[in-house]
Amino acid sequence: MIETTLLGIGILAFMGMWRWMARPTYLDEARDQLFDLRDDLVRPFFLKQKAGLHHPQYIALRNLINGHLRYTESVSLLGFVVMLVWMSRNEAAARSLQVKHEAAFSTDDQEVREFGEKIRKEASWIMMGYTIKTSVIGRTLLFIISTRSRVGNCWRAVKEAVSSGRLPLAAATAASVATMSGIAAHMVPTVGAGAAQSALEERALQQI
Amino acid sequence: MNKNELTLSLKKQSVKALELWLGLIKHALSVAGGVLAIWLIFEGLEPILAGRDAAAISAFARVIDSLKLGSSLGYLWGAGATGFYLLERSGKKRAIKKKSALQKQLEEGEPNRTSCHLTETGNTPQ
Repeated sequence: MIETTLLGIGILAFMGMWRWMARPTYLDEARDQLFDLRDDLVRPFFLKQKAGLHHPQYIALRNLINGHLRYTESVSLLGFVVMLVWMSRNEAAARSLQVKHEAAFSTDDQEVREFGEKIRKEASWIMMGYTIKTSVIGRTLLFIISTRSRVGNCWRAVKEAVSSGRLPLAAATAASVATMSGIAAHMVPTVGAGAAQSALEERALQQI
Repeated sequence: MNKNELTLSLKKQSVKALELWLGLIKHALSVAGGVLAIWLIFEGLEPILAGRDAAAISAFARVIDSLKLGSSLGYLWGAGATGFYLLERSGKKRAIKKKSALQKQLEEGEPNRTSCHLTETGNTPQ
């Protein structure tokens, strides 16, 4: 009977852990990464440019990251997925949104443009990671997807190694590499990277 | 505002409404989970404590007696880890506060400096 009491205490402890420990930790992690992008990558990069901190791309990227920082806590996986589904069904509106964002970050300087694209992508990945980590459904789906990817990648790597007559060590190495890239490789085509980035940026740009 | 912008704007409003509903459902589930947990705690204690008024003074001792050593150590470990987590977190918040002040000082007077409007410890403003 005491086990029933301990189960009750355990449920309360687990709920408290999720609410007051896990979620704030994931929030801090995402914000730390966004601050690193803004303060350790974007600012130093533009300080080295001729236009310095007057560069329109600096202003645009800083505003975008500030929006992500401010909006981190209110983003939800459900809202994000609903936007993605809607965008996949309304291609014209989705394309117009992407064009609008591309225009806001356009520049003739190729180096700056490539840098901006890299930062925008990284910021979107951080936000996407946060929505998945803080959602019970998201975590479960990620576990299923990554397990499926891992099993599939390992199986393919082992089959390749066996068919080419390589040593088991080579098979294990190939399987490890395949596993590491498994999640990222699977997620990109699933959600549509461009649309996902647009959905997240639209919300962030509305915040500031 | 063109047609695309209008449909996007409407969709954003409906997503916001959906998120509010989701928040309400999550809150209701949390409350239900909490109530269930408290009910389980008392349900478990009831057979140990009920009908033994004369021995009520030693009820707590019986509860402690009923706990398995392994489970107790597990819960003690959980409580200890939580305490140390909170201690570390307060240290981290202190470090964030100092770092944000230094960053602000570094960027003072910079053109086009914009802020994310978080609090000085990096929390979302209420």
